[in-house]
Amino acid sequence: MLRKMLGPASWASVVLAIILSASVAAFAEDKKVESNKSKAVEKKETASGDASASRNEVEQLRNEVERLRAMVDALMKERAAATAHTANQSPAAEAVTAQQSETIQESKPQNPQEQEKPIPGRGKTDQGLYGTVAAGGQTSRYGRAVFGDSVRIGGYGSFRFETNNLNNLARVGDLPVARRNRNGFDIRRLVLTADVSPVERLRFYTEIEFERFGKLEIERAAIPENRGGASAIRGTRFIQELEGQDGSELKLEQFWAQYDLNKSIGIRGGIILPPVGRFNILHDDDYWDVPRRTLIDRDAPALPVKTAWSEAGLGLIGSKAIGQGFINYQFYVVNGVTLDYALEQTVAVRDDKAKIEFEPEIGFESGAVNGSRPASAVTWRLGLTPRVGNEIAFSGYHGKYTPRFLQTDAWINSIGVDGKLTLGNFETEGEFIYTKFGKMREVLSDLARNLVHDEAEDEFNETETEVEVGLKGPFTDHRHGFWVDLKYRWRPAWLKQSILGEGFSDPQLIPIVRYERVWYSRLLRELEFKGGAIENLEAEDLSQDRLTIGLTYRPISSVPVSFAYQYNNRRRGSTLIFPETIGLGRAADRSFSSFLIGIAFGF
Amino acid sequence: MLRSMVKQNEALLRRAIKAIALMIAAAAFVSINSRAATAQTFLTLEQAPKAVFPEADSFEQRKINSTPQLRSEVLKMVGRKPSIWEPFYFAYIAKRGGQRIGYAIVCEEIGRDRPITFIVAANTDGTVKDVAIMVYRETRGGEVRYPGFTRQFRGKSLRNPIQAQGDIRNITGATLSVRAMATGVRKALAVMQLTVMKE
Repeated sequence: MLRKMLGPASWASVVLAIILSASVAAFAEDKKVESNKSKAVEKKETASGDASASRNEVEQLRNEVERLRAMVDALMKERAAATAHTANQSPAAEAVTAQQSETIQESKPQNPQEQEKPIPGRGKTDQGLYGTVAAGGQTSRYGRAVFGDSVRIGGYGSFRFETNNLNNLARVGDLPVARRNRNGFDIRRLVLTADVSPVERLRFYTEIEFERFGKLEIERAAIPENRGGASAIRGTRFIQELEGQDGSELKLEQFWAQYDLNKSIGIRGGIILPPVGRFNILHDDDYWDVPRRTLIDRDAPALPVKTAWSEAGLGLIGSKAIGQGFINYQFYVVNGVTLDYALEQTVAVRDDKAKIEFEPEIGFESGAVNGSRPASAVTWRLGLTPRVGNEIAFSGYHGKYTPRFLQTDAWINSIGVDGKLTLGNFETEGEFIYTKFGKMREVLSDLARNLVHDEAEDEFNETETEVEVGLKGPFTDHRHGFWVDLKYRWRPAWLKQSILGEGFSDPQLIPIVRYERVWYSRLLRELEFKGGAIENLEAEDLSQDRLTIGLTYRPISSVPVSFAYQYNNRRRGSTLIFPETIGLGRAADRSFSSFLIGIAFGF
Repeated sequence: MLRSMVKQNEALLRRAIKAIALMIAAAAFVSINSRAATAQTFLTLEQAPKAVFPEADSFEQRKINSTPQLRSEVLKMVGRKPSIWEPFYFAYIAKRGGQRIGYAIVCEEIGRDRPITFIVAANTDGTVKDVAIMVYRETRGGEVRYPGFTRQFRGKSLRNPIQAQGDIRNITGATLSVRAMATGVRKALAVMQLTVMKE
């Protein structure tokens, strides 16, 4: 049944092509109108050229100019008198007739001194009814206009300081210990956004994320190997140096076009956010009051892929008023999550033999965006706001996750329930996610059959080479979890009068408590296979919970400065699910605590 | 030749026919259910006063110049800086049987990036009668146009905070638009009190 539903998946490109053709046609129409206008102007000019040949007509034109000049002089005098009147009196209402209203729309502030400098780049297309100017300085605005008025540049970002008491690994000999704990600054991310609305019913949106991205540097050279020495060997040396910083990620997080069919529904296509749960679609750091993302969405994902989870696809989005509230809905056909690989390379310089290791790490990733993966998933969301401030939403994701190099067809089914409740200054918000990975045992057998051996080793004189399959997954039968936030928006009078509130319109202090828990059912720990057959498979149930107590100070709505204490606790299994350190795996601590200070900003 | 072409591309053609059928169905659905041309405009300048004062039988229109003095007084009354100073305001005095029944004013505030145009109607005692969004230009947050949100302002006056996430409930994903509307309604009430209500 579901597969039948996915039939339209392959139509996504056709739908997008038709939409784009329609918009191109619309623009062509505009251009045609402009071209007709310019032709008319040309004709007029030709006519006036002919007229100039006639003295009578020149005389008539001269008279006409004189008449218009007299009218302008009279109007200027009238305007000066009106300005003087306005300046001398308190603001007065000036009666105008309905017929005059069109003229008013075009008019400018009457007193030249009243005109403030408009925001640079703010053109006519999006300036509003009044062609208004910003009340604050340029820097106080959120989202700048560039390349004309239809393009807005904005973004958000965050960084934090974290200190925790995770146990480090045992000391071996006189070497320093391998550290898991943290005590430093973490530039979490900078996301740049561009929002373009060339005409009323079309818009384009892009988010580019620099996550923990400090540097990417590539150097290349081709130099002669023979540099003239006595023992030189003839040849050419090709060198490539790649320098970057740990944990760096550069990602096109969102990139979509939306065509509004009417006020309640639009078609959106491109790279979108699967609307499962509320965190993935509301992942802007400046929205949240805890300086770390939730376990089930990020660090120990119950979602098929950690937030921000993006997929290429096409679908419908909209909302509609119902009673005292409204409903909102989204439905997309997407390429879908797939088992993908990343090639990990390790070079170990050791006492005995040096080691070079290549590890294809197989795990769940967003579907490729190069068209190589068939659209094989759907994702949806239906939200109900019975009354503003209170929401409940149901969401889901259903798609095939097995790649083409496997014979097994297996599916992910994810269901989410999330909501928010507002009671005066109290707000509570939460999310539950359940994800089932179908036929996991068969998929692992299929992997073993296709990859044949899980490792291969060879040794040369002083070097050992190894190829080892890494099953990063996380491979589980199913995962589920939830989080609940409870916070209070506190606006004490002293805050407004203190240095923390001076100059800010609505400074707030927000005490917050978050409780979250996640379960991993039969997490794959060890898989050994030889000759295409599984020899050893170890799996384990894991569970972890986390309590966060924090306080956030928001001088303005888009800048939270957060302080938080987090207590992580292993509820089940031999290790925690989070954190997982590259090269060291998951921590075996029973529990650990962290203290975080974070700043996020939207601009 | 044509037959062999069709035969070779049978599966592709079948999918294309399905896609076209789906498109026609979608287009039919949309054309039945919508007037597509105005996705962002909900009320024109002519419709707006009638929308907030359906019981009125006539309107007197005023153009109020936004002078530095007016702005300074409005700023004091609003208590927070609006994002926009309009160069002038369209204001209306609503009448029924020759009697004043209220006032309305068209204002703008920037949500996240773009101006939201809205009309605020007040009773003769200065309390909000109704608020309606006229044009919403932002990418997200358009839910502020729904009556469920705008009815929160009813009965409030400048004596109330009219504050987002305070006495005005927030809409998730539309926080900046909600803030803009809260500030905008205070601005509209202040302009009305300083001008048309004094007449």
